[in-house]
Amino acid sequence: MEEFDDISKELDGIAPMLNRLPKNLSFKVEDNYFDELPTRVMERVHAANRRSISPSWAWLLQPRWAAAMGVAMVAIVFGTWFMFRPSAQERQFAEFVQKPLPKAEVQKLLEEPATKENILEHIDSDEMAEAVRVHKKDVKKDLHLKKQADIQALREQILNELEDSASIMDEL
Amino acid sequence: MSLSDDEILARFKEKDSQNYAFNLLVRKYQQKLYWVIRRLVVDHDDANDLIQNVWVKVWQNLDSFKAESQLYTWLYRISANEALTFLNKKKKRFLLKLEDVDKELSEKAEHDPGLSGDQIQIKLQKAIISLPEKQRLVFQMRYYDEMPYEEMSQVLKTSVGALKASYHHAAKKIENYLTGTD
Repeated sequence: MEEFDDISKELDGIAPMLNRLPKNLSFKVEDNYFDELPTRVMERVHAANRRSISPSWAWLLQPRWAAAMGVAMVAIVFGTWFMFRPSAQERQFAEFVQKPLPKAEVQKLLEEPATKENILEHIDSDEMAEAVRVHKKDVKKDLHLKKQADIQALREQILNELEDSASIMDEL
Repeated sequence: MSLSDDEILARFKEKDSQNYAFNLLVRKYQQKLYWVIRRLVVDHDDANDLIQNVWVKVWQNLDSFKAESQLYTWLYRISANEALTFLNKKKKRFLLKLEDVDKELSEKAEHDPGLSGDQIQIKLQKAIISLPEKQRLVFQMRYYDEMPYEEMSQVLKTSVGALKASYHHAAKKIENYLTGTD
């Protein structure tokens, strides 16, 4: 009461009109608001408790974090594919290897006797040089140095080696 | 059964009676704290949200409450902070000027069912709303809650001298507003 008197006296000295006004609560609330408020407060408190004791990784389940994780995963998958995707040359080679030979062509190759003439017909000069492990420039050099007889002997040698190679292919 | 603050706090520390003690605390102080907030934010829905936030914070921090100050002072401080923070956020969120927020609060006060028809009370509320926020809080603590300056000093962490000056300015401005000499 002493405090109230002091406050009233103090206010009377500053604002006498204000001091004379009735000090009511001014604003209104529903009649039963304060009866129900404790129940609502306890519900909020328990809800906040449930959130605070959820597992430490629970934040990952929040929509914005889940969306961010999804985007990151897509980026990682795409990045990995982009880094390790086959080159155009590798793709062409893979297509060539996987493409089956036409049956007729395979049949023809199997039925054809492995004669020197047949082999020579199918093999160009590069393949021939590769088969006998002789390079073009070496052949030319040798041809320049040797006489016609030597050339004939060389031709015989090449044909013999091709015949041996054909035999090995037949065995395989 | 009416328990003292110390008894409520002691029961709150026991796990089995924690809910019971907290319920008692809410019932004991809910009205006073609600009006602290309501007078600052004016709107009932805002005050209703804020008072519930206050109690959640009280629950989460009551264990760490040190009896260096009175429990009511501590509760009052949390409530006032919650209301002032809300008003500041509202201004920033909607990029409103201080005058716009005050105008909105004045309109709400004018249309409050508790005030309608009572012209002098509407005028008083408008005058209070026109004060700067901190000054408004000081005025309300002294005028409505009849709080001693020492207690106000603990709540607001401000010197008694500064609070007396602030209250004096606030009361003078309101008087001028009411008498039309503003």
